[in-house]
Amino acid sequence: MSEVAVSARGLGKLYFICERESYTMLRDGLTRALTAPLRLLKGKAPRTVSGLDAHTKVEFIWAVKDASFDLKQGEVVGIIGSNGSGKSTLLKIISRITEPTEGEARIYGRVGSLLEVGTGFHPELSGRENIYLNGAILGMRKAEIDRQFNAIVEFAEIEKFLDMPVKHYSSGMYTRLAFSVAAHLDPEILVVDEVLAVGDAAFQKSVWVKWATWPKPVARCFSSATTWRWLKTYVVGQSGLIPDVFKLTVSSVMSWQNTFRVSLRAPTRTSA
Amino acid sequence: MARTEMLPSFPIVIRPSKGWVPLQLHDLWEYRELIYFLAWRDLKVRYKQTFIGVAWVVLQPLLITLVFTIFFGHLGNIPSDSRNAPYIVFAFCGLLPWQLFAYALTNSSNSVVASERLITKVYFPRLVIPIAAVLSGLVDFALVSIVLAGMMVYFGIAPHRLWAIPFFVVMEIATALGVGLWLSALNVRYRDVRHTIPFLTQLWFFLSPVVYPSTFIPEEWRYFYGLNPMAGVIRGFRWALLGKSPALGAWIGVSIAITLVLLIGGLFYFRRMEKTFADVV
Repeated sequence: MSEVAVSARGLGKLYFICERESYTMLRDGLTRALTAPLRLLKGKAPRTVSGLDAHTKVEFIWAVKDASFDLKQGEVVGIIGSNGSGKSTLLKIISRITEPTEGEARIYGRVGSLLEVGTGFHPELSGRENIYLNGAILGMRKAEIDRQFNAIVEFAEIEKFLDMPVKHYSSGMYTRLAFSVAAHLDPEILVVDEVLAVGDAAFQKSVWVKWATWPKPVARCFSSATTWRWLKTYVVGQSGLIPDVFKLTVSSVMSWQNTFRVSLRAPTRTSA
Repeated sequence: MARTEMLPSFPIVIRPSKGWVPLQLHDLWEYRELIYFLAWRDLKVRYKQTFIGVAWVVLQPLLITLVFTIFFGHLGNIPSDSRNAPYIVFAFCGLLPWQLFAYALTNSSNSVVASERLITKVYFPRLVIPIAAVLSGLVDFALVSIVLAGMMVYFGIAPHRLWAIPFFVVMEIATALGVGLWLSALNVRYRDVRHTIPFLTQLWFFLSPVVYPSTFIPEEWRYFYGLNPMAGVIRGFRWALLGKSPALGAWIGVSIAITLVLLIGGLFYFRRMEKTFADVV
């Protein structure tokens, strides 16, 4: 059980504040591309992040800095912090959506990331079609979706509307279906961002129970204060049902907070 | 649990990458089902809530060919380059591969920007997106092919080298994907690309022998003309299907070489740029 699932060392992510504006100008891009060989010839060009010249003045922000931690198999961790403290960015790095600017992370197992409910749902497609599409996008194989199909439909309680385009669904039905597909994911490492904050309480509870009672050890990584608040109250209320989650959650969050004190502070703004 | 063996070797190491990165085609292979599902979605969505549905696929090229036949064939007196195929078959035989190409090129160039939500929320090899976008055009192509077959039966034209068709289809898919990879990656950063695509395809249309035979190009310019891979593809289609047309010139080799350069360059360029997609798109 003590096997490491995610191990991060000195992860950092730098964002340029004016990036959008300055980068969308084709002229700049072309000049940079054309002068690239020259800069190479000159040799020791001052190396800065993403090839910017040292004299280019840009404002930047470290969304995540010096994040180091080990997440073990079967452990549940909640990341908490104020708005803009880098919770989501960290999860995006771990789920390989964006690259870190520095540092390294090792992932031992299949990552299922749920940064948003219903990613890839298409309003014109029916519930049935969206189960397959969304499942494939979240990394399930067709055979796996086939196997889980009935369970997903049952869990979402949408049998009657299965062949209706989801654009005609009520928002509750839509959320339930999206959740349901996600709840039947079968990863070794589950990354969840904010999403548990939506949907009705009873349904959220059933999703959580599903995740919490997985037969195999899954490392779970949740972010956001709302999720944490909900999780805690729920777990405290029903600790008899899933005692290990409770224990692990509390201890992990404590240690996590200690490791993270630096990075979860409001980030500092600097200019180069 | 049984599927753990099919996964790439662990651990997955996440670290900043620099410069050119390997293609990691095995990773792409792992996600082949997603390619299928995205292409299938494209197809489904395109004809939802249409009255005549799939008939559009066939109707469109037929009407365009009719217009071509009237204006270029009759009024413009442009000849067919095959002695046994009338202009209408000649034009349709050029339009069939052209439409697949134009669709694949446009769709793949816009694909990455259109999939913004996916890119910022889920990990999967980004190459999946333009590849699925290109492949979804193949179903339309198959349907229109049936019409061409019907037309050939009606005019009594036997295909001479049907075996060569798959090669030319692969070649044009590769060209469309090659260009699509470059443009879709550029489109993420410079939205100017989106506005140039209609212009580019229109220009490309006239540079390709759709409404005129490639024999219109003087002999000494053929190799230069071959720099446009679609010139090679369309010439190839007519050579394979219509028969009694002049032999395939050696300039086709130039087209094939350009296709390979575009595709391989596009793959590496896309891989190099994809790490910034989630942050910039």
